[in-house]
This record gives sequence, structure tokens and C-alpha cells, in this order.
Amino acid sequence: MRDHMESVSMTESNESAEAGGDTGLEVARRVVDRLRARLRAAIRGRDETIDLVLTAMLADGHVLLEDFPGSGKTTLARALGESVREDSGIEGIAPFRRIQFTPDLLPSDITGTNVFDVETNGFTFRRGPIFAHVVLADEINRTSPKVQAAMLEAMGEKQVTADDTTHALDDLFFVIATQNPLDLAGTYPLPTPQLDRFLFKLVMRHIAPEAELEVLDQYPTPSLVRAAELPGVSRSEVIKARRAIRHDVRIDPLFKQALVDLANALRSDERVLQGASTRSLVLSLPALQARAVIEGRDYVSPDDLEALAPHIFEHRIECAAGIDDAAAVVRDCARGPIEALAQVSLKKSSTK
Amino acid sequence: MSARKESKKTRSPGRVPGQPSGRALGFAAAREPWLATGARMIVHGVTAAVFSWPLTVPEAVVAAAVGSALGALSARFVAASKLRLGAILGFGVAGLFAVFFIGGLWGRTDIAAQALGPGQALRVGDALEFSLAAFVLSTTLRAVTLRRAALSAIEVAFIALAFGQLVVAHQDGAINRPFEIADPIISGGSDPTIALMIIGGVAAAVVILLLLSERNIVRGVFHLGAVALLLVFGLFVVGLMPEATVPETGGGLGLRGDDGSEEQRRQEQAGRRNNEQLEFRDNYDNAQNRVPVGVVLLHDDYSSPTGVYYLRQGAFSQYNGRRLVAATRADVDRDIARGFPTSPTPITDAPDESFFRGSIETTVALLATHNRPFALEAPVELRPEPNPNPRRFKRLYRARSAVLIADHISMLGLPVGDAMWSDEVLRHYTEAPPDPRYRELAERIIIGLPEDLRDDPVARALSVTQYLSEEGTYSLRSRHADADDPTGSFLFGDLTGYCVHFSHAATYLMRTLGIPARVATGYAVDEASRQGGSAILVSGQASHAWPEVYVDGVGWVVMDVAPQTVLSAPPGPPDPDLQRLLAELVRGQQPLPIDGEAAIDLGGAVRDALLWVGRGLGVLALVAFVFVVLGRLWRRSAALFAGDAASRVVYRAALDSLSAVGIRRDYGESREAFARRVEGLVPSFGPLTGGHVAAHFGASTDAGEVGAADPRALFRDVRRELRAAVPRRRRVLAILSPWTWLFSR
Repeated sequence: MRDHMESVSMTESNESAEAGGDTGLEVARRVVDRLRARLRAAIRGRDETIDLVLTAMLADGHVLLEDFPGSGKTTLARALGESVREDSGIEGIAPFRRIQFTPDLLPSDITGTNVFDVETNGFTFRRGPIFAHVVLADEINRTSPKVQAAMLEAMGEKQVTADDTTHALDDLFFVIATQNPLDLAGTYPLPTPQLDRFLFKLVMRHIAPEAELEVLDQYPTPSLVRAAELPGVSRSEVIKARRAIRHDVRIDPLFKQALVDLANALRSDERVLQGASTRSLVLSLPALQARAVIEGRDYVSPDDLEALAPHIFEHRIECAAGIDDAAAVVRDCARGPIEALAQVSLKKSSTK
Repeated sequence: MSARKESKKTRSPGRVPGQPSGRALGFAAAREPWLATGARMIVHGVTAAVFSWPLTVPEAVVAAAVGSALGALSARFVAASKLRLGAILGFGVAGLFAVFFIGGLWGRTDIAAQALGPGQALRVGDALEFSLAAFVLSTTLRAVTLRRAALSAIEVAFIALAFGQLVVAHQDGAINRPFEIADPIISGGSDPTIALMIIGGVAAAVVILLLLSERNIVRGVFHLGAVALLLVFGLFVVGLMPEATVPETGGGLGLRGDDGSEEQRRQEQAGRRNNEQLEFRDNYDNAQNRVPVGVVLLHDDYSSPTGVYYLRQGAFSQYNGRRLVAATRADVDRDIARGFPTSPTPITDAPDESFFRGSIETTVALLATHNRPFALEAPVELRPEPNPNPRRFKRLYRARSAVLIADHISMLGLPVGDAMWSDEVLRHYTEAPPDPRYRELAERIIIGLPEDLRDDPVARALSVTQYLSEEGTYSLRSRHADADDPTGSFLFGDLTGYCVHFSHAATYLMRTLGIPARVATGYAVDEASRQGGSAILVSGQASHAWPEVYVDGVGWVVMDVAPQTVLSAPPGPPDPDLQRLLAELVRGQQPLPIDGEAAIDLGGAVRDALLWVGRGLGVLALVAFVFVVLGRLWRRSAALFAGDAASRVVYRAALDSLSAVGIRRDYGESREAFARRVEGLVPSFGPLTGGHVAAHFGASTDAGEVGAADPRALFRDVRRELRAAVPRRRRVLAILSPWTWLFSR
């Protein structure tokens, strides 16, 4: 747990080099607008999920999607991957990779492995599917814990280690993992500390009938093809947007207090056996900033906290026996801090 | 679904102890909830005030209450400290000693008196001593109780004693006690019993508070239920026997016939009507029986030649083989009234006024239920009187009596019996036990008479009473009740007994000498107990039986025995204040205010208090209403004239407008979420909210940019949209309820 916190701070220090210039937030908004348009063209009736996935990507987090087969997960991930144009010049980084997790998968199957090269008469590292901008980790709970561990390790540290050699993953590296909430036979459920690596856990519900009809109406043209017609973004733009969001979106110090209050409320709640980690609070800040940009603001508002808190904390807390709806618990615990944030804006002294 | 649970199960033993709640580790249990502490503070304060009330000045009473309440508060912290239980107790006792020592020092040294003046010094000293003592005592009691629940018995005992000592003086019908409670109330013309009941109610409320302040609410409710059951039971008992504490008639002398004795049953079987009779008892204890049973007002000054007022209620003249019982013949003892008068009732066979008898009017007020009237002997006429205080007095009647004004010596030479009597009546009054020893003793007694008086019946009777007075020993403990002839056992035995024995012995001896005699019962009150007043307070312990002789032309004359050797102390004089007070009440007067003190009208005081409370509440409500209306106007107008703070003030006014029609943000709902919720109704509220939130949370440079739209214009839009969306009656309602802005957030 501790080492992951370090990895987070390390990631932050990597990016504190320089701000994105005068176009920082504008780049971010353009990235948001284009990605959103493309994803919405590809997937109908999932605007909210799309926004959250974009939030996670811009906040440099990963997403765990929990839904039923055929609900558009792969389409979403593929559309996202294909929307990001490679312009880094680094070889061997694919825009999109899909890894189907199965019980017989080995860690090296995803990270890559050293193979003997007869030309150089030595071992060279062959990159696994994890070296991509966007990785869809399908049915992550179907593989063995050691593969899960390798995957989650890579997600946390943005690097893989093979035979004592460390290979950095792409900066953009964004994972969308999925798991089926019902078909649990023969699975290896992710324990709570491992779930902690995911910024959001999103539960996708069946889309509205009108949206479903729209999906059918697009036949025979594949939606991905139509989405590809829209303008995309480049990898460096996304990286720039991420940096701009971290540095240019104003986040009032009160939000830090609110996050700490929320964590404490969760920890002292009777329904919660294990509360949220400190890492989750650190990860929350860029998420809040990302959402602010997605909502067209340059400042974090209490509304962001209200909207994101259930997704951030739901899978990180362990509820007491008999408590099924962790999201409801989080919403309950968030009321106090959000109310405090809402109240403060009416106070005279705090007016600017 | 099983997987999730499984993971939980396997992981829970190795769970990170991130949030050990205080409850789980048992910290919370040691702390008393604040509500309970508050309740116990009230309990201790009231108790301390009640306890110190009769003891000290008002300032010290208040000081004691405050000290006690603070002590109950400080006990919280003492109990949570690391002091051991023994140490707490030790400190408590030592602290009390220290306080009393300091108090004594204060009283002995004259520094304070010189500095403050004696009166002020006393007040300050008392206030200091009482408050400190109350503080120490309350702290100790509460802390000890908090540590060990079982020791709460000490606390409860202290509280019960404090209330008990306040009202203990009220027992035995002493309605004028305790003075400090009763005096002001009586002088105001009210009944102190009501005040005492209020005190009882306060005590009950205090006990209920004490029980409700249990740390465990279930236990508190359980205790409360127990108290409620006890109260219901008590009410039931009181309802069953309203006169349980006040005896009837003779006050336990055995003058009642409902003792279940054998004679009574035989009498009832024989169909006899009058079931009153005298009972011989071995252990007759009337020392406790100080309850007043009646008050007799003398309307003329009258001093009995014997120094004792005899209040006759019944007479026993029929010998039944063992003792004297009420006569079954209709033509004897007709001077005994059978019932209470409902109209002026002359007494048959009453003596006439003569040289020996003068007329005296008396008013008799019965405090206890009697089954027949009593009056100063010998009553001539009974008249009913209106009862000035039905709650206090059972019955009132006026009696005209032909009282003795001549002494027994002046009756020497008069014949006994009545020429009009038939032989049967005479035989009735002279029937004595067949035991020859009575006759022998009687003749031996009259030998002591001078020659010329030896045949005089009055002299003979007097010599009999004189003999018994000299030889007999008055004692409430005797051993004759089991004998076949208790009187014989007494007379020819140790001559130790009480009035029933003496009166029977005297009557029998007189009868064997041919003197018509009987035993009369009622109350005998020493003249000294009048204490210069005109009222005679009759208490249960004044019950008496005495021999009477019928002297021709004078009627039944009391010839009482006054034993010179007394083993049982005679009853003390009645409470003069109570006597005076009851007399005033009988006269139907309000007892005069004492020392010119203002009279306290209890009902009026309560009414006034309620009136003031009502006025106060009304004024408060008015002030609150004005505040609310002004507040609304101010917040509304601030939005129109706001300067730099426009966003905040205008947004607040918009919130007020929404609140007025019942649209309010929920707790924990963000402002934007609220704005989205009401978007359908008031679309302009969204931008207004956005501007407001941006002004507060946004970067200072961008604030103007984001909140570009003029908030006032948006506010106007909001109001216009509200008018369009909200029905008219809802808006009228909003005008009628100006307090809605208090709920906007």
C-alpha cells in the first residue's frame, strides 16, 4: 500500500516540469470536446459513463467497469483508443490493446518477455499488450491472482519489470478493466486493496430504450467507423491536457478539508468495516479537477465532489455484513462535507 | 454474490485496525450522557434547596441549590478521573468537615461581622457554608454513584431524606406545620395541605427525573414504570380508605364497637342496635395518637369546677355480666344524642339550669368522622351549623350545654336518683356484679367518712373516687383483660389500670352502695390546654371514660377518678398555634396575616405566574415575528442595493424566494445539483447558481468571466419564472409565512 502512494507522488513529480502554456486549459477543453464527441458517436445512451471515463483518463486514473456482456465496453475502450493519435514517435506503442483475461494467462503474457535474438546474440524485451495508450482488460476477475497482481502493479507504477530490467509504460497508459457482476463461477474476485488501484468503479446499467433504438438504427454502418470520421486528439495533447488540469484548475483548500472529513466520516461509520485510504484522497484531487473541466469550469465545485464521491469511494470501502449498497453509504457520509462546502459560499467573510 | 462475502470472510481476521470505535473498546460506557447530567443537576439543585429551606436564609438556599447543581456537574469529571473510589469518599468527608470548620470559624471571628455588618455577615457566611457543603456532598454522591451503580442507593436515600425532613412535621394532623410553609399560606387563607401536596408532586417529579436520567434508557423506562405502578397503587389505597390516618370517635380507646370482640358478636346476634362498648385492654397505647379529632369553641367563658372539660359522647350503663355496655332499654340514658342534628334538636332528659348548672354555648367542629356528636356535658340542645371549610372539617354543630358551675361539695345532702324513675330504671342504674367483694370494699371505704356524711350518697360517691385516686395506679399497661371480671381483677388486684378500669370500678362500687351511676365516654380536656383562648383542641389521646352519678335536680354529675400514682405520662398540651388556627377556621375567618406580612394567595399567585408566562410568551412571539419580517425585508432589499457582494446577497435572496414557495435545497445537496433539480421550474436559477459558486470557488481572475451575467438580472428572471410556475394560492401562502427564509440554505 505504502509503495503505491510513493508511486503516485513520483508520477506527480514527473509532471511538475512546466505548465502547458497559455493554451493549457483550452487544449484540455478541446481534448474533452473531441473525445466526448467521438465516444458519443460510437456509443449511444451512455453519456454519463463517457464523461466519467474521460474524467478518469484526464485524471491519470484507471476505470473498472462492471456490467453485462454486450453493453458496449469494448466499443467504448476501442473508440477511446482509436481517438488518440500516436505522435510520440516511440515504437511499439499501440493506440489500443484488448487483453482477454483467462485462468491460464501468465504475467509475461501481458507484460511482455525477454526473447533471445539471434542477431544480437542476446536477449531483447518483447513488449506485451500492456504497452498501449488504452488497454481494455476484459474480465479481469477471470485470471489468476498472480496475473492480476502483475496487471495492477503495472497500473500503479506505469512500468513493468522483466528479468531485473524495468520497462516504462507509456505516459498515457489508461486501463479500462471490466468484470461481470453476476457470472462469478470460476473467478478470482479482486480484493479491496487491489480495487484501490482503480480510480473509478462504474456500474453500467442498461441503456434507455430510445438510445437502444438509436443503436439499432445505425445498422449497417458500424458506429466505430462513423466515430472515426470525427476529429481525434493526439497523445501529446492528452498529456498536455492532464498537466493543465493539474495546474490550472483551481481547487479551493476547503475541498481538501472536505475530502478528509469525508474519509473520517467513512471510517467512523458503523456500516463500514474498512474506510477509504489516504491514497484515494490524493487521487481524488485530479479527478475533481478533471470533472470541473469536463463540466466546462476552471474551478472545482462542490458539485464535482457530490458527483464523483460514490464512484471514487464505493469500491474502496469494505461494508459490514448486511450492508449491500456501498454507494449509498458514501453518499450519506458525503452529505456533511458537501453541506459544509455549500454553506460556506453564503457566508459573508468568505466572499471575494 | 458468494464471492464477495467469501472475500470478506477470509479477510476480516486480518483487517487493518483502522477505525477502532470508542464504543467497542468501552470508553463511551464510562461517560454519562449530557442529558442525564443535566437532569441530575436539576435533581440535586432542587433537593439542596428543599433541604436548606427551613434551615437558613433565602440567599443561602439559592447558593446551596447552585452549589449542589455544580457539584453534580463536577462529579462527571471526578468520576472520570483516576481517583479511587475510597479516595473520592475520603475527600468528600474531609471536604465536608473542612467546610463546617470554616463555617464555624466564620461565625466565631468578628472580622466579617465588622466588615459587613452582622446581618450581612450571617447571610454571606451561610451562603458560603451551604453552597460549599452542597457542592462537596453532591460531587461525592454523584461521583460515587457514577463509579458504582449500586451506591446510587446512598444518593436516593439522601434525596428522599431531604424531602422527608421537610414535611415530617406535618404528620399527626398538624396542618400548621412546618411553619415556614404553612404560615404564609394559612395567612393567605389557603389550605397548606395543597402546598404540601405540591411539594409531594415536586418530589415525585424529582424522583422521576432521577430515574429517567438513567444512563440506560431502557432501565430508566423500566424504573419509571415501577414508579407509575406504585403511584397507581397508592392512589388506589388512598381512594379506598380516605380516612386511613384519622381514627373514628374514641381514637383507639376501644370506644368503638367494631373491634370484632365476642361481646359485640353476641350483641349483634341478639339484634341489639347500639354496638358501642368499652373494651378492656392490657396494652393501651395512645401516646402516638396526637391527631386532632375536633375543635370546641366556647362562646362564653366557662371554667369547670373540676378544672377539666368533659365532652360526653356516649354512656354505658347496662351490666352484661362482665362489664358495662350501652343500654338497650329505651327509657335510660336518653340524654345521649343518637345522631347529629339536622335541625335544632332539644336533648331529652337534659338537666335544667339551676344553682348548679349554667348555660354555655359551644361550637364543635369535627376533624375526624364520628358516628355521634359529643358536647360539653350536659348538652341541652344541638343545632347544625354551616361548615366554613368542608375540606378541613367533617361536620359542624352548635351545642347549648347546662354545665356544672358548682363543685361536688355543694351537692352534699342532695338525694341521688330521680323520683320519676321507675324501679326498673333504678335497678338498671344500680346493677353491679354479684361478687360480694365489691360490697365489702365499698362499705370499707365509706367507713372513712365522717359520721354525719356516712349516709350521704354524694359523699359516698366522692369517697369511692377518692379511694381509687389514692390507691390506684394509672398505667396504660395492665393485666386484666383476660379475666372473667376485668374490673374485679383490677380492683382486688394490683389496682393498676387506665380510665376504663377506674371508671368501671368506681361505678360498680357506687352501684353496690345504691347510688345510680354509669360510665360516660368522650373526651376529657384539661382546662389549662385552652391556654387563655376560647378554643379547645381535642386530639385522639384525650379520649376518656369516667364515672357519673345521677344527683337529683342536677342530673348526671361527673365524678372522675384522678389516680395520684401515674406510671404513664399524661398527654402534653396541644399545639397552641394549631389550636388557634383551627379555631379561626371554625369561626369561618381568615386567620389574620402575621406581623402585617402580605397575605399570599396561592391560587392568585399561580394565576399571576401563568399570566406573566403567557404575556412573556406573547411578547417573545411578537418580537420573533417582527424579527422574522424585518429579516425578510432586509435580505430582500439587500439584493436590490448590494454592491460588491452582489453575487452572494442576490443569490441568497433568490434562495429566499424559492424557500417561500417551499423549494429548498436538501441537506448535503450541492448547489448545482439543487439548481438542476429546479431547472424545469426556474431555468434562470442555474446560471445564477453557477455565477455564485464561481464567485466563491473559482479563480479570482476568472470570476467575472464565468459569472458574466448580471446576477440582479438573473434574479429578476428567477422571480418572473417563479411567478409563472407557482400557483397563486401558493404565493399568497408565502406572503403569509414570512419565516420561510429561516429555512433557506
